[in-house]
Amino acid sequence: MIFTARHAIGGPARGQALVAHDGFSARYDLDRIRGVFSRPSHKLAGQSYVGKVLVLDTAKGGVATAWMLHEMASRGVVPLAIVLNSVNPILAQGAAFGGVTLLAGFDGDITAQVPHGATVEIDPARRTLRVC
Amino acid sequence: MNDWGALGGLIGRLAGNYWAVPYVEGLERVPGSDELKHFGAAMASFGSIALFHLAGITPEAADSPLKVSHGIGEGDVKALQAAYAGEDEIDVVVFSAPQLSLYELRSLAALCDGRRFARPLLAVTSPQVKPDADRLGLTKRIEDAGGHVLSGMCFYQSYAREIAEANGWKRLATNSVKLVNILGGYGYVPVLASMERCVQAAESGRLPR
Repeated sequence: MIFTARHAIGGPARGQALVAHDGFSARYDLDRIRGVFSRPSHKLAGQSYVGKVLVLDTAKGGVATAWMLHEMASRGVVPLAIVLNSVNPILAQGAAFGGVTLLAGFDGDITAQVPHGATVEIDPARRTLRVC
Repeated sequence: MNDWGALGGLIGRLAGNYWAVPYVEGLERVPGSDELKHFGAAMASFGSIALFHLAGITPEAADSPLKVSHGIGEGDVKALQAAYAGEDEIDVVVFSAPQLSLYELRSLAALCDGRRFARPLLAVTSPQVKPDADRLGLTKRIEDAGGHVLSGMCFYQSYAREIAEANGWKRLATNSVKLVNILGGYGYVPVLASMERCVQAAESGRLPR
């Protein structure tokens, strides 16, 4: 299965997908020291995001994600890539600044199409996500 | 104040993403500047909303066909507030996110008069407002009750998790819907209440019912 996004940032990435129909904010949802989703109401609560490909619905929250991914990357406690149905300028800026691969905007709901736990391969130059 | 925050939070949750622009009609009165501030902050927090229109209030609000419409009533506002009813015992009271205006500090100072707090109470404001609060004696009235007025910082941006761990804080009372939305991920049990009930909780350690 190959999915093509409308927006792409960053370098190629291959890793395990964490999939949920929920939002993403580096500020609201994460314990950035332990590297897990910590917001109790988040569908990925308790799961480690480190080195994972996060497949989620949309960017949430305020401006902090714009710099926070960079801070997380500086400590090596960061997702490998972020894949969203819709993105905002804050998360796009954060991904570019933090060196985190980002894909966004698909035909259909990407969180309903990528199996949770699947290995996926992202090629930003082609704007594609492949389920291996 | 938290009624407007709750309404903003509900609209943000329904709108859901940055690209949605809510158009709100049917408000029974024009919100004040601080009510609008809480309304917008909560909406952005729940939904990453960058722009909204209020019919008959904001200048660019124009009646045009909507892609999606929702009805929100008092019951919905109360349900959101009830979701953050929390516990009676309170460890700390925080007024922050958004930073307090001079009007809010004036209200807080009036509530602080004659009280002595048993729990920490933090009020966060901007570097522009703090000197006026000092000059008008508001800071002193809050501090005389045992509260703290902090300038130019944001509670949740200031290592809120580490502050909680260092002080043994878990149950946090606030009138900010934005703050209760954020702090769950930082290990707090956030409790939403009016400014008056929060101040009473700072004095007694318990939220009055």
